[in-house]
Amino acid sequence: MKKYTRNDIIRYLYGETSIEENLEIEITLALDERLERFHWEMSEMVFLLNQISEKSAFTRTILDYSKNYPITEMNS
Amino acid sequence: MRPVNEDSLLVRQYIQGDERAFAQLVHKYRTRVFATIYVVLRNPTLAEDVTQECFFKVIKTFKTGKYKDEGKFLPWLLRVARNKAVDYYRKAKKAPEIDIDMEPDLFNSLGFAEKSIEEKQVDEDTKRKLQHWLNCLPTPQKDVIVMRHYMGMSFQEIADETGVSINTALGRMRYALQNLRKQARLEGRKQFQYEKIYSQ
Repeated sequence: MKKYTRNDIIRYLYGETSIEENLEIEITLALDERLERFHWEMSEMVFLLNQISEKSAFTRTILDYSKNYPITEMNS
Repeated sequence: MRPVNEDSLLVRQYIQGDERAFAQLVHKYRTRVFATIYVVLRNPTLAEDVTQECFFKVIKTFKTGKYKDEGKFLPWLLRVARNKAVDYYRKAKKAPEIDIDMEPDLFNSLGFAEKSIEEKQVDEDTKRKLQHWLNCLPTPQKDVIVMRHYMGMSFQEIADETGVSINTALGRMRYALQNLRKQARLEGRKQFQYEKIYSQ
């Protein structure tokens, strides 16, 4: 089995590892306490970053603005 | 006769009142607009605000009949985006900066860490602080977060875009996440001391 590094854990967290790698990484995490802790800490930060960068509310604001903005003149 | 491209068609449909056509344009180009603005401002939170303002201007232009369709919607959109970013940058240079660190600390990362991911409700204050820490990261680390989280790029795409190896891109992300976590822990410690002083 390949020796997995912290960079591999980052790839794993962002869903950029293959199914085979996922399985091996999960085994590695179960055996390596330090790597498991790193994984847990990083996943928390990724979760938080996903919260601040989520696009749904951002796009909704634009589309709501559009719906509420009246057409004042038609283009020819 | 000039052939009608997909964007021109969507623009026409939108002007005739089809909001779904505009939604398609927003979904198609929001990342390009964001990237154009981010390059100028280098601050993802501000870049998001200015991206919204850019689309607001686009809406106004369309709905007041001021848009001249020459089949070049995207170059026009990106020009609006860039002008908005440059305007913001000029105004921001004149305005005084508010130091977020002067406010009392409310985020306790240790308490936060005890909850499971499903239980976490990230409040607005935490988001604001995280955005602030993100803006304080070294540029290569901040860029990799923005490209991944705000622009949806893969690590290989980030590596290609920034001219580094994929391992360097991954390493920058790792350091960025570790630095953000370090900030959160420091914040948690400060909060603990603050509570200790005021409980005496």
